[in-house]
Amino acid sequence: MAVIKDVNTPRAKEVTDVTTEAKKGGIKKTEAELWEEKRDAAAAKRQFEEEVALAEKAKQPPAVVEPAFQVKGSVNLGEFNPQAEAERLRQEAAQAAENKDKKITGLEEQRDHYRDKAADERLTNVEQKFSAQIDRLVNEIKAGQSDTGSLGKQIKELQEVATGVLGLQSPIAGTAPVVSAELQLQMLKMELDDKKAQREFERQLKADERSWQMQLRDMESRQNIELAKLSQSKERTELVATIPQQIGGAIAQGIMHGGGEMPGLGSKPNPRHAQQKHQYAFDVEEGKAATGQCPECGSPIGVGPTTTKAICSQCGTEIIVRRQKASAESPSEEDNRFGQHG
Amino acid sequence: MVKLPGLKKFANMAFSGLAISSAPAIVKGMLVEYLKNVTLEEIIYEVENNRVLWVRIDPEMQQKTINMLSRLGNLDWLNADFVIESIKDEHPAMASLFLGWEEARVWLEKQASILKQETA
Repeated sequence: MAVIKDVNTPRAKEVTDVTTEAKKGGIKKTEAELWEEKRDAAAAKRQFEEEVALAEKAKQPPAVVEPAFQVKGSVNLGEFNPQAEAERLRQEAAQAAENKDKKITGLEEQRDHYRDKAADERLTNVEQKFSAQIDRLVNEIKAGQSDTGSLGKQIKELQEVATGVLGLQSPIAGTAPVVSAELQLQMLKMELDDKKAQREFERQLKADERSWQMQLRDMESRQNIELAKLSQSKERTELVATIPQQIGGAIAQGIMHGGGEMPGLGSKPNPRHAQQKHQYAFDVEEGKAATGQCPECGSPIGVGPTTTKAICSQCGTEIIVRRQKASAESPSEEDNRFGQHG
Repeated sequence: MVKLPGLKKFANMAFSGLAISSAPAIVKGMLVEYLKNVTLEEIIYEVENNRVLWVRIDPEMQQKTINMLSRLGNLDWLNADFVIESIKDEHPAMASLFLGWEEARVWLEKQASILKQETA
């Protein structure tokens, strides 16, 4: 069918209503799209209602909050102490453990008792069996009814009983006794302890020796000090002992001073003078002084102008001074010499 | 307290004895030192002219000598024999002169007397 169009009117001026077109059956919506539109509409409505409620709430004054209804009072449910409870539980556990230990101990004692009793019974049985076999063996030997096989068998049985039941070693075997590892370890330990004790003893011995030497030196040093002190004390005592002697000498001198005479001041005779062997003479010019030497000791001697007998001040030798008249020639100093007279 | 009668007397005697025992040694030393500056001829000259030796000593030395001798107490021991005995080792010729020459001995005794008088 041909459509007549106004060619002078632009096509954009045509208004197209989509809804109308859809209703017209131009575009057909799916079910999902339909429900999505409804959901959007409901959400928008709910948001709108919330906004309205908030606006109204903001217009109203704040409401006074009244306290809630309260019920006061207390109920005593009793005291609960967890520590005391734990302690009580622990004590009960300890008591239970103790009871258990006691019970175990009693059972072990009973077990040991029965074991010992069983061992005794077994030993008695073995002894009886052993004695019965020995008796039978003796009887067989006496009766001569035994043969080598029977005797060997009996001996073998005895050996089995001895080794198996009683735990004895056969002396016939000749082997070294089997020492258990524990026993060897114990022996080694004992040996080690013995060596350790020996070393400790030697160390102690050396320490004692050293201490003794030090004590000896200390004693020697003390002895030297004491000897030095003793020597000093002795010297001091001697010095003190001489003081009275000096005082006594001073007292004696004082007493003698009271007598008015000093000892040893030219009053005693010269011993040399008494025992003079030779007589000496000296020729000196009359009225002259002279000097010379003692013919005995060589000490200087002075002769005065009128001296008739010169005396040596050292040895006391007397020299006769012979005066000679002055000659024409005056004698020189060398002529005034002492000469021996006959 | 133990009383010892006469202890003070003995103590005084001891001190006196000690002083006297040391006094001659002091005087001896003084004489020896003094005579080191004197010759034998000078002594002979002094004796012949009978001069007093004391006045020739320096006044300061005189005062010192007097002070020293006054502390020694009794000076009876200071005589010619003491002087000769004191100087005989250091001045044997002079001692010999005094021993053998009577006038010199008298002069020496006189000098000792003058010294004791000055000290007293």
